[in-house]
Amino acid sequence: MLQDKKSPFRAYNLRKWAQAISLAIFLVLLVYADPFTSRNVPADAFLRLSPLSALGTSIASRELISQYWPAVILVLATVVMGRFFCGWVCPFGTTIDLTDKLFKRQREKERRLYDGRRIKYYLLAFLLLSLFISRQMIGWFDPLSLATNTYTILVHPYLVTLLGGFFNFLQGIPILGGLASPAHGFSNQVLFVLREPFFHNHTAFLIVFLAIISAGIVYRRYWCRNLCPLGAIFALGSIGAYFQRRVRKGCQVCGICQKECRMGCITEGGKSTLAGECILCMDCQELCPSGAIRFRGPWLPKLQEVDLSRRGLITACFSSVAMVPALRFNFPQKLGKGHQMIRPPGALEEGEFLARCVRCGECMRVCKTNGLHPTLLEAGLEGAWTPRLIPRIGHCDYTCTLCSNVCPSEAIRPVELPVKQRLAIGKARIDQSRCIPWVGYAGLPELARGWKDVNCGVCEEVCPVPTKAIHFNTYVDEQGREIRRPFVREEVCNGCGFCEYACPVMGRAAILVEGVQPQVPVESSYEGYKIKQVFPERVGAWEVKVRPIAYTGESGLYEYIDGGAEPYLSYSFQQVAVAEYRHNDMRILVEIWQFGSTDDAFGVYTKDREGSELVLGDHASIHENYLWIWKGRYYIRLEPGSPAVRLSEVGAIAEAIIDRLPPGRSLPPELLRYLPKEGLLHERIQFFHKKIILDNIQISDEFIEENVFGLGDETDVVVAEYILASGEPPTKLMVVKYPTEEEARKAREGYVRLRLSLGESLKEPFYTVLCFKDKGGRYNTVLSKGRYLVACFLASDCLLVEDYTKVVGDKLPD
Amino acid sequence: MNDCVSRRTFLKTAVGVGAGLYGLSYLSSLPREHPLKRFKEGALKKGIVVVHGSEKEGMDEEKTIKEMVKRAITALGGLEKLVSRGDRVVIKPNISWNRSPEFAANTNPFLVASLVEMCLEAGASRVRVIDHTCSSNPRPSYEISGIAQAARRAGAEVCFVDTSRFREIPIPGGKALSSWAFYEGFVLQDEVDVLINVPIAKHHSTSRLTMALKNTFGMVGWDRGSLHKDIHPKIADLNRVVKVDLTVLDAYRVLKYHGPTGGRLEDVDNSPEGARRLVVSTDPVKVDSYGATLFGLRGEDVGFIREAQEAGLGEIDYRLQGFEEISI
Repeated sequence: MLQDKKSPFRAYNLRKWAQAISLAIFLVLLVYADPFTSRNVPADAFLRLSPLSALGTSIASRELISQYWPAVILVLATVVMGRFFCGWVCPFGTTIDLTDKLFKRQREKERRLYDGRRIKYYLLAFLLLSLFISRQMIGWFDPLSLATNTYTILVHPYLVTLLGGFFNFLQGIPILGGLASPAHGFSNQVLFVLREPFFHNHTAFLIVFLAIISAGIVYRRYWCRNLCPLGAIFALGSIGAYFQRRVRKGCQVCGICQKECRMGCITEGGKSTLAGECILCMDCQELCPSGAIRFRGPWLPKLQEVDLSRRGLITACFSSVAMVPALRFNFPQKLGKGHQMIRPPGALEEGEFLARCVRCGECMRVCKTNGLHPTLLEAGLEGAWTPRLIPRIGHCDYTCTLCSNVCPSEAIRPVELPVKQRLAIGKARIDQSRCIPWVGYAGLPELARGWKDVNCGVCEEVCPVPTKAIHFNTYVDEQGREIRRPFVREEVCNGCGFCEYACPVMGRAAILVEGVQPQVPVESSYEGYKIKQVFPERVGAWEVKVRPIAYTGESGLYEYIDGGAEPYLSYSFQQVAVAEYRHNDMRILVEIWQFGSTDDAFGVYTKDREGSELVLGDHASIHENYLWIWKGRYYIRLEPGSPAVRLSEVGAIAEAIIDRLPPGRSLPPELLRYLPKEGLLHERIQFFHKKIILDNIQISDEFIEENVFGLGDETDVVVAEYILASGEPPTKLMVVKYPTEEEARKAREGYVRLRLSLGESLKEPFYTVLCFKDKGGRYNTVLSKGRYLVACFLASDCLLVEDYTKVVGDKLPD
Repeated sequence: MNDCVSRRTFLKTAVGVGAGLYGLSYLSSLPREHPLKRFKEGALKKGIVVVHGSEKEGMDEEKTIKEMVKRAITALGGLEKLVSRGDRVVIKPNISWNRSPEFAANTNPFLVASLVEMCLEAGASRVRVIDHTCSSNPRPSYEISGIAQAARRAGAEVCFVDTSRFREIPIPGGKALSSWAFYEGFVLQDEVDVLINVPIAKHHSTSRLTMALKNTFGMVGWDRGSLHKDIHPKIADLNRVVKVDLTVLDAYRVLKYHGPTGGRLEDVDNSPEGARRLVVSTDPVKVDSYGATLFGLRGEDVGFIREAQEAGLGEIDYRLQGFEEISI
């Protein structure tokens, strides 16, 4: 049907269109990999088509990498349809077709170059054998990896730079300059650039690429016919395919097709075809003067055998053995102490990483700051062309996980943003012999005479870790002049390298980030840590003098506070650690309490605190320089030993401790949400579970005798105070959450019974609110709804308190 | 096809192309006058206006901030006294970091959007929003801060800094700097008629605070890190060149600790006592001097505010020429 030479839809034309569209898709995916990946479009689609990489990385990592499912489909398609991928789809093949056109006239001269198509089979054998014998080297030869890194590292940056230079030249010229600016903006939009991308070691890629395409001077598609190991796989797979080149009887053996075949796979003047070498480009069909060539079945032609020699295969095997020392002999390996290169966030442990990385450069393409670059020999030969972060050029953006999402072989495994932010890819170290304030203030005595301000602190400023991984060692002289010399808190540094990027020291930065392998989560320092270790040794002039002691569990707490432990034990107490800070003869006592839940830590905090609120931790109160702080599952209490201790000093210790607690923000218990805001005394809210705490809140002596509200481990209680009318003593409002509705109802009945037994009068019910007038002339209400019970005590206005009770009741969930 | 080139042709072409290119480069190297922007003659009051406001029933953050900035600028005389019909306005927010608005590391996006709308209403022909961010790639900061989207919606042209357009400009009377590279879009007369600085009030580790004066760091190029040594006189020096016509300080959220990047909600002050306000004035020194009080300091305590006063850039006593407080 599609054989008509005049039809624009004939297979020959379709092939050209397929190539153009495929290359276009490849380029669009590559250029816009960044926005595509953010929108979950698989920018690595082409790379995942490669059965060679699939095989290589799966074998090398001893794990089936499911991301490569498209490769399996492609192999199955090849078995039926032949080696169509090379001729119709492969972006590297298309690129070579394009560059081959440049050398058309050169090829007319008679030149010779070894044209041995068996090399690719030997190369394939060598690469596959190496997976078992030495290392995964497939990435260097997979044409899809080559296409990706060629366009990423060479073509795109070169094009952008050329255009940029051209437009900048035009810029200065009158009249033309006015046109150049919008044109430049437009070209930058199309090429998706904000800054000219640059890749370290790009010249190495240039040499390889030029070598590959310059073979086109002698033969077309030299790489594809002789070297490409992926082509070898397809060639082997396509030997029995349905779509093959078949020559019919009309053939005049004119030899035109044999001469023109880009793969050089036609022999015998056109009559026969080398097995697996035809890439279905349809050139011969187009050129054949007698129309004798068809590409569909039905009969199987006589095929020539693949001409592999035993000697060649043995050579492949031996060379793969010979590669072992070449690959493994390198400085980091020899040292046995790893290398200091920073791998992208999410990169697997070094050995596993090298086994999986297919050297495609996709991660470098998407890196938002242009910080990822290919290595040359920095990681040894075996690590050549793998990605490394060079922070001096671009740091690892705190809000970006793109590289981990585009990796086709999951050498960089996908990481969620919160995980990535706490994943240490390296650690920063300050070079005190280069750092401006360290050097500038080294000779302090002389400097004091001719004072200069050489404080810097750019590294601290840019550090994206919320509590800063860089702090200052601050010294203030008698005249109040500050000297601030930075140091790194390694335990929270995630190695992003922003500090190294921003360091104003010329040349090599004064703060250097060294990679860590394997990458470890920063928060691992919090897991299972002893809260004793939370106390910083020294804060300003204050030092821990009495070593921290931790008291764990019930018995531990009895040991610490004999006689007053029960209220704390009514919460899910785990441990408390105590330390004392001293400065001269002043003292500050610090307690850090750990509870089973954030709600309970909040509860104990509300039980203990006094005074007014303060912005610190999740919630804090201050009274005469005593501090009470709630932070997640922790409650911190600071007690200055004398009035001479200043708030700033207590505050500094508190901040230092909070910085060392697990990060994150906690919300107060859910029950607090139901409290009306109007008239609420925020600093008087209390949260608890058991009767023992209620007993210490003055409401009525009648509640002490019996557990009238049925409080226990499983009840959540909040008691708040309200000023309903000015000049009145506060009214108390209590909300209890029971585990079941039954218990809530029972508690209400018990409470009503108690009130009635005291001889109090029950007012007319207001909706479901019951109101009692007690002997002191005050009003008390109660209401139950679902699993909740609401009660108000000691109000002086019946209507107002009924209304308040109802407001809470309406807010409660059903 | 005969592609042989005769000697004559070669020489002719070489001379022709050479002369052409040389001519073009000569044209491009001709010195051209690029006058610096001057202060826009406006009739805004000299004083300072502080507007307090919190979200209430029916007023979300966006509406509250819009109302606040409207009231504040009206109290100063109205934006039409500054922006005339056809003016090209440049708004310089602080978009330094990749942080969302609640962390108070970047200017509030609603504030930027409200100003864009007001400028367009006053007749501006073009409103540009631009900042030189701290990361090498500005896009994430522009987007995560919410400013790009909000400003675009309000009708502004949101631009990134083009690194080839920094121009070295001498700083007359500079104490620590004799010249520096400034972004053309902020300082050249043929680029901008009205420059509005919209900083956010933050703690800053090197300069103590960052507000209006320090925000000029986002208008300059070269190695900004090296400006951090002896930072206080340098901030004042940069402000000798930059002619800001109106300063709107965002203190709706105030980053009290771990500035200038922040990243923890507990470091952000959201209280009506310590934040929840905007400060508007034509005098950046007044704005900063008032802003310092939010951190429990006086203007005189902060080096660069003192230096700016000494450089004659403004008045450190913010109560001197009229101080108005509004609450909504």
